[in-house]
Amino acid sequence: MHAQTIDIFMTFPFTKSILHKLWNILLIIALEIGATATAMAQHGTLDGRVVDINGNGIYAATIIVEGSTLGSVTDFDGNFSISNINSGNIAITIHSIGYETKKLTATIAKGNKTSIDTITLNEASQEIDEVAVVGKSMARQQQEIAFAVSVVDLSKSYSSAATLKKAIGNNSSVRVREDGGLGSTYSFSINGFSGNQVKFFLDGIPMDNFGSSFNIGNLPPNIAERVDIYKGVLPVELCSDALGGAVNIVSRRNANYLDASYSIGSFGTHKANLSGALTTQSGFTLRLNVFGNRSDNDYKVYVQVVDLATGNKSSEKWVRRFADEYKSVGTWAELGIVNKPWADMLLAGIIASANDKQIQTGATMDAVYGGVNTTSSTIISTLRYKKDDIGAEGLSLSLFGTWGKVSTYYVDTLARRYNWEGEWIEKTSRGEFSLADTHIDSHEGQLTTTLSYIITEHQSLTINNSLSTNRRTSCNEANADDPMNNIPQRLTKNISAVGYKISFDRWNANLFLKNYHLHSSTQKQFDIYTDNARWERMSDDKNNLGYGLATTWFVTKKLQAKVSYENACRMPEANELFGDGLIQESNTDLRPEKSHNLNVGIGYCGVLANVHRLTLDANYIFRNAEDFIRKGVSLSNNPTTSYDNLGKVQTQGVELGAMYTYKIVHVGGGFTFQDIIDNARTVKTEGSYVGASEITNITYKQRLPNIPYLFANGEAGVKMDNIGGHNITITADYNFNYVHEYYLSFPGLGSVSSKKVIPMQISHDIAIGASIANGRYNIVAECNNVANAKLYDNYKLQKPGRNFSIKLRYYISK
Amino acid sequence: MKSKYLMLAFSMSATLLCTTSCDDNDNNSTSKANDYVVCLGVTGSDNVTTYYIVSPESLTEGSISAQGTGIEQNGYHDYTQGGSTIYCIGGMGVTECTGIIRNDDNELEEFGNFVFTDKLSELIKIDNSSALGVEIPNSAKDGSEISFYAIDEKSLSKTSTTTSSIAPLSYLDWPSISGSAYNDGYVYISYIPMNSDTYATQYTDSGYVAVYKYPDMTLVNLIKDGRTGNIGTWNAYNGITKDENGDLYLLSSSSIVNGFSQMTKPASFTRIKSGQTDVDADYFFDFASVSNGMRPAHIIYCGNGLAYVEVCTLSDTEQEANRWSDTALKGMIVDLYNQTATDVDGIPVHNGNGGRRFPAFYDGSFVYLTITNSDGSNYIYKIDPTTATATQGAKVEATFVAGIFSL
Repeated sequence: MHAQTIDIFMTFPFTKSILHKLWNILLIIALEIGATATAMAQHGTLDGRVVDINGNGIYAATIIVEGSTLGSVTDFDGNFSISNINSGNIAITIHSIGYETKKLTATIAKGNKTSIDTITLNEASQEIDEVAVVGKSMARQQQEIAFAVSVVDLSKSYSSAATLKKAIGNNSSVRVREDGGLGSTYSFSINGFSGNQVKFFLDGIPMDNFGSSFNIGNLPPNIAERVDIYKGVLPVELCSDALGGAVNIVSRRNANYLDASYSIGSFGTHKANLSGALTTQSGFTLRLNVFGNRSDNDYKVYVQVVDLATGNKSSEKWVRRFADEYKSVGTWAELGIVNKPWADMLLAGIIASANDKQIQTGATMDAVYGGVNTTSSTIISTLRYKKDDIGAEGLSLSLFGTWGKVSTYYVDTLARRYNWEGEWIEKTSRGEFSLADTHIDSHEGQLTTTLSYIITEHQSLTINNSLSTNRRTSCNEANADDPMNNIPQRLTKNISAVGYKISFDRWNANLFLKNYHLHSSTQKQFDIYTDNARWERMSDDKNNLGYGLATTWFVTKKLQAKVSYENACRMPEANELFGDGLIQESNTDLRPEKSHNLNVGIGYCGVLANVHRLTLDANYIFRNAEDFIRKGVSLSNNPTTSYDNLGKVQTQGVELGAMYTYKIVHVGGGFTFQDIIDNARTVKTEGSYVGASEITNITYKQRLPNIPYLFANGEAGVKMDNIGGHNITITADYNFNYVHEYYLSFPGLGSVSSKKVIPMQISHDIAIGASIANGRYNIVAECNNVANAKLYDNYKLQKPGRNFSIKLRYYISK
Repeated sequence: MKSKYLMLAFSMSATLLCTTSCDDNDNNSTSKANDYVVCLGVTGSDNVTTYYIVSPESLTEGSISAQGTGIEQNGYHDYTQGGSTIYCIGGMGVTECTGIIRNDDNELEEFGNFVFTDKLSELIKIDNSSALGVEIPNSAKDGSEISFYAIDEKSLSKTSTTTSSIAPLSYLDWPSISGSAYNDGYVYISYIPMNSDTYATQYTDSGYVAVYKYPDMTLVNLIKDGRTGNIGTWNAYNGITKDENGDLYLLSSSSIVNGFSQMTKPASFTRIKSGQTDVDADYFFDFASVSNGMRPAHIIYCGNGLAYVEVCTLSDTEQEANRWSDTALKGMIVDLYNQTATDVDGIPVHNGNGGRRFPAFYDGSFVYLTITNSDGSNYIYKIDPTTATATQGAKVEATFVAGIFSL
């Protein structure tokens, strides 16, 4: 039996061997730096920065050294560096979409670094560029790809105390469903899909097996440059079996910066973050992210309190949550080289994180716990390699591999019943919810390989392969006799994708084909308690083919139309195929969950008189999903129910977005309506429960319950520079969130007065910030849920009321 | 692993004995047609079940639906009647109990706010004002004590709690409650020794009933009867049927289709006479021989020694391939006094409801039971126990029926 809680800092699995490996890598890199420095003595390096008329760095501007093949692309802050330039006078051309092209001359000194003055590009007048008529941020450019994507530009959130999850949650069309405060269980809901139907990626690598301590619920926004939310149709670069969409976190690319922040807020919440990157002229680079969060989450909830002596509930009253503390720490560090002849980038890294979480409630607020706890730790090594023009011009190769271990511990052993006042009585059964003292160890490995080739000016081909393996064992020490203790379940997925892109000035199209292959295995006990009792290895292979198309057309310079479609799938997991290996039966006939996902969108982006800027987006979505993998109806006496392909759902929805900027003021918002309909004529039941195995579905064509179907968000802000002639910027921001009332059960059934509803919810958040010295020092004060509204999610779980935070941030970049 | 416990947690969480409440229903034999209450279970293709308590005009005509009507209840529920109240037991994450009464306007109304301390293993009706809740941990690892709590049904609150060691019952394997009854100062609990990890039943050579003195809940006898197999089937609470004289009839089926892992004895009925704490050695009803080897799965008592019993029509060999399936059932009228069994005419061979609850209703004259026809639609069947005939009645617009009552 283990102690109830484990100090996460004590058990942090930062093993000696990993430190040793890291040291070896450092040593190799140091030697490499020395060698390259000698070879480069005959040449020089040019450094500089490209900015717009407001002094903001322009991302992805190209700098070409005339008469050579040398060139570079600016980073997020507009910085660039070109090495190996022959010494002497050179001419360079600076070009960026939406800006006037500029030519400059410079003199390169032998063996030295030459820095040129900051280059300011003027916005292109509307006639110059055929397509992009306005200066576009990287986020906006990403928004304009043919895929249906919502881009969350996180640079706007760096000074905010919110987690990555909150920053994304302010986006329309995506709902972050969460159980409570900081660290609480959450899931992303995109057009009605949620759970493992929505996949998460970090720079294109699936995060499925990264554990609960390294995910968007913990990560600070400062770790990433932006987050791309793909709706239903995924580009080949994101290779996973995502049925309903994907969230890709794109890490920061700045070559040299330091971003340190600390925030303190209501309910004992503290968050600290250090992000930075260091890149030397010789191409050595270090990227570091460290974060720590903690919260008591002791916010007040409005609940009925059970009198433990009589079992009767009181009328509703306000009480504080009392066992909901959350702690997490984590780091992601990468070390390597950039801009070498043999590698544009080679980075070795490590992800290490841990968390410790108390679980206050069950699926509803009725179930209140005092001693349920889970801890998790993750240690993953990463390796990335990227090279353009490898072997042939236009051929690029990138590799991203991870290997590591995630350990999770879950304990629920108290023989107590708690109420919301924190009082408890003894009960005869151990386990407040279900007796567990369980260790789960998961070893994961992944390799994503992307090969792309630019065939002609207008055509390109991308091949992507994503291989992931996972080996999982679990041991419940509260049930030492459980024969499934420490029996491994293995799952290997290989997803290959090939994509072809054709692009012209006014339109482009992406065609893609994906092959999903799954191999899973486990051990299963047969003929227990007979002479023939034995364990046998079970394994299964599944294959599925998917395909899709994404195309966009600029109707006019400012008006863009998009259509994308994918025949998407999610492959079954090992436990779904094989059951629990003991009681729950296997069903190797399981088919993948499948969905036809269609997006049609139109967007407008225009600037008037150089001061009015307006973007508008309207999207129609259609989803036709079937064969959901769900546990068979298990109301019956049959504890052996297996997973089955059940249910059909059809979704039609409309998403609208608008953003208007006038000089220092911006105002915008989004609106989503999604009609998610039960589309199954019959309900399949597992043998025992009712007569026929297929019976009439009473809720055919009714709206699916417990999913918000109408919601909206709004924002307004003002940014004032140079206050009082000093280098001070003041910002004030307001966010608004609306979720329409929705039912907990199918709408047509039952009398209206007895229907359980999640009432309409409106919340307002405000933030006021100041930054000094070109954004070097920042302070932001925030108040979330200003009106102290009762906010709910899944099955009416209450979320925090009015809360405050202050974040201090120091930021420098070169 | 966790899913197994989840399953157990909920299946053990709210289970009720129908047999004892049947006595009370006798008083309602004059009830008007529009007094019926039907608890509809609706499972959407999202696999979530919601319940609607409706009050249909008729059980024999038209259709019964929750469209725009009925009291909604979320989470898994079981239903039983005590006097003029229907008790709804279940919920999401906790085991709650609410009552449903018919108010002065003749409309159904929900009341009460009671929460059980833990997963409820069994609820035994004592009289019209009190019940006894029983809680047994899921396995030896979960705990070693059985707890009984007295519940006042009028105020819907817990009045006292008694605990005792489970040890004598767990001698062979973990006891799984399969039936219960209260009579004349004693509480009788039948159980199946069952492996709590694998659900294997290795001790099927005898019937087991624990007899407690009420209300102090001291164990007065542990019946072991080698004439029969285990009493009752797993989680179906069909082990003990009480007649109007207070005699208790014990059902033994050992049916694999209803959850046993082996069948070592033929099906039979035995008896505990009213006021006794041991089986009646003079009564042994060899059900297998009068029914051509059938094994009973579900039972509802109809008075005068008659009971409507559903039996599995599969041969013992066929059953072995269909564990837990509660399948291929037919109806029989069983005369417990005269030890006879007659097939009911007019009911198609059908699959069972899993046995966890047997939501049949006896109104003093007829038994009402919902059966799913081969086309996937549900109908209430009206069964006459005196003639052993059945007719198809109202159509039910629900995935299943969790209870039929008269209020």
